[in-house]
Amino acid sequence: MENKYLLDMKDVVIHYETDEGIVEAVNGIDIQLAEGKTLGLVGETGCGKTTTALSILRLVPDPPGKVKSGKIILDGVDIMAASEKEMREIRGNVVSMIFQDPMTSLNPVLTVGDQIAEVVAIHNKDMKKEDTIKRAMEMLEVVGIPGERHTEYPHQFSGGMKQRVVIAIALACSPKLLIADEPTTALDVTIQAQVLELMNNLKSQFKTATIMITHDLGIVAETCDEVAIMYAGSIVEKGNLEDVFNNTMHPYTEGLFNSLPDVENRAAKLKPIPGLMPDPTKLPKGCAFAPRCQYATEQCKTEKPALVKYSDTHYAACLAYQDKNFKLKGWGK
Amino acid sequence: MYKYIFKRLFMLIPVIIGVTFLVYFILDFAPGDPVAIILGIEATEEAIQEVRKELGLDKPFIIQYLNYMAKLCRGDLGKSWAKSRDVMGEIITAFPPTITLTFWGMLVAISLALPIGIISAVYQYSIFDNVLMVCALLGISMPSFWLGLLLILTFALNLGWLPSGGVGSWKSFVMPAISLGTSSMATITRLTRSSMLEVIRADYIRTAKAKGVNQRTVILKHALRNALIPVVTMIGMQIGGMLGGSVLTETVFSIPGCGRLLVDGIKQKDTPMILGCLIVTTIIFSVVNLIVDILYAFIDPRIKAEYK
Repeated sequence: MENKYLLDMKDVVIHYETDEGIVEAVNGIDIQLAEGKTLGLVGETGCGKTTTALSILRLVPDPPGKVKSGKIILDGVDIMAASEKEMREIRGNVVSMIFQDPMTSLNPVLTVGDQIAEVVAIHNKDMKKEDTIKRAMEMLEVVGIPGERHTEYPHQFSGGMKQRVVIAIALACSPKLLIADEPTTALDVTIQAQVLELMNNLKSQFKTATIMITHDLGIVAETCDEVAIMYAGSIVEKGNLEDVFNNTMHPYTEGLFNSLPDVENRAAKLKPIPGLMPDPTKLPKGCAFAPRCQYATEQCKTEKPALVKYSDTHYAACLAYQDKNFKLKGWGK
Repeated sequence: MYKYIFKRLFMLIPVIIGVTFLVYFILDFAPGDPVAIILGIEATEEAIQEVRKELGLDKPFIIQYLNYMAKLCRGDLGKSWAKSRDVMGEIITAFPPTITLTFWGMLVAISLALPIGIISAVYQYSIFDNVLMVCALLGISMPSFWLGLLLILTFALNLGWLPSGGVGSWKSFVMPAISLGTSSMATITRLTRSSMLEVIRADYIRTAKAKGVNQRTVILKHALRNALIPVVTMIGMQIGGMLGGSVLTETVFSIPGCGRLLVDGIKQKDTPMILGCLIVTTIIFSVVNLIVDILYAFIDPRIKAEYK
């Protein structure tokens, strides 16, 4: 059963234990991802997306981060129980990560070629140095940068090209899982489109499963097979694109769609979700979204909703559906 | 790069003119007559006037200065008023002990400071880190002459293991090197630690970890080089200061180095000697700074691109 998925996260809880209090960053997350599939992890800034991703590489900064409970099985390996040496063999080889800001995620004092060759050398111990450089040049070509630029330093590249280099590093060892943490947030829109197209092409070329972390539903629609919507450290709705986009169940998801500008009616005002995400050091007792939810009832304030299965693929965590006749008002209303 | 080095060396000329003028000016205004100091209280007025004339002190300040500069241009640092010996010769004899002292002092400082700073940063807030940072604080706060005296009391007077002063075998440099190196070591340790702490939180360190790089390589290859810039600057400044003569250490351990020469010069209001020492110090400081700036280029390619 466990081999069915490339990645199987069960009930993962991660806290940041700081002097100011315990930040409940991730509160019992389940994620299953099959080989070659792409999952979109969507949510506001600070909802625990990046922490979730880092836990897969076991790179949650400790201190103050602590994985309190749960199980993460990646490619048959129990991440929580693996030794540090095993983890090093997994990182960069089985799972790679692309970080948000390409400006700061490359080492300024090493050439880009060295930085790509390094990951190749680590995971192919018997490879000669010239061959790792050759592989680095190939990877640069793959992401659309001339191979001979491998001797240049990160400051000699533009932001979009730096992100391409980061992608080249991530894919150099053909990992089974790629985690892209808001890979286009720091780039301007025209470059965003290029980078996304590149990632889409490479994903199919390398048959890599991907977790696409983003707050941009447009990117999800373009690149993902499945979506998980996160709010305050929990998944509130997940399903395939059809489920989440066309049969939206959770009020928060509806709110996200409502906050998008309407292309057909440019005069329409944006409808943001009122209020702010709750302080993760003191999450409310009931549903974390209740204070901002237009459908909230007294019950929502005291009872935490569980993620309930509504179809083979579609899950949502909302108490309103205990009433069989409940329906969201729909987008734009 | 060569153009840059040449430009920087060329900049030394205005700096030296500025330094000499300022020092000459201040010494001219300072109270005390060097001739009276040389001849003693009982000298006759005629004798004083004669010596004044001999040293050129009867001329106005600006003429004195121009005469000095004219000689300086020919590479002549003049004669010491107090000792009537060549300033250049005096400096050349005083230099070797100062260089030796600087070398050992810096070796003590760097060889301990870098590893301690790195380890403290990697294991931040551990017992090791806390203990060493308290020690570093002590090292910075402790005056070097006081440490020197303590060392002399312990190792020279009580235990008799090491000579209390002078310049002899390597043994005579052990205590001076420790007392001179300690405060530098403490400063460099704290700087290395804080610089490393900043760097190991950087995104590219996370990238390196995500590639599967082991901890040692992450620290030594990815983090250290990025953390070195402020550390190298500080080391350069410390070396420059030490080569200019560490007055206190040289006095406590009676080492006949540049620091002693300068202090003796000031005591006797011996203008050529003071100027000679300061010109040498100025040149050393500038050259060490230049070397530091060139090192930057090797550490950080972004800086190299700016040296056109």
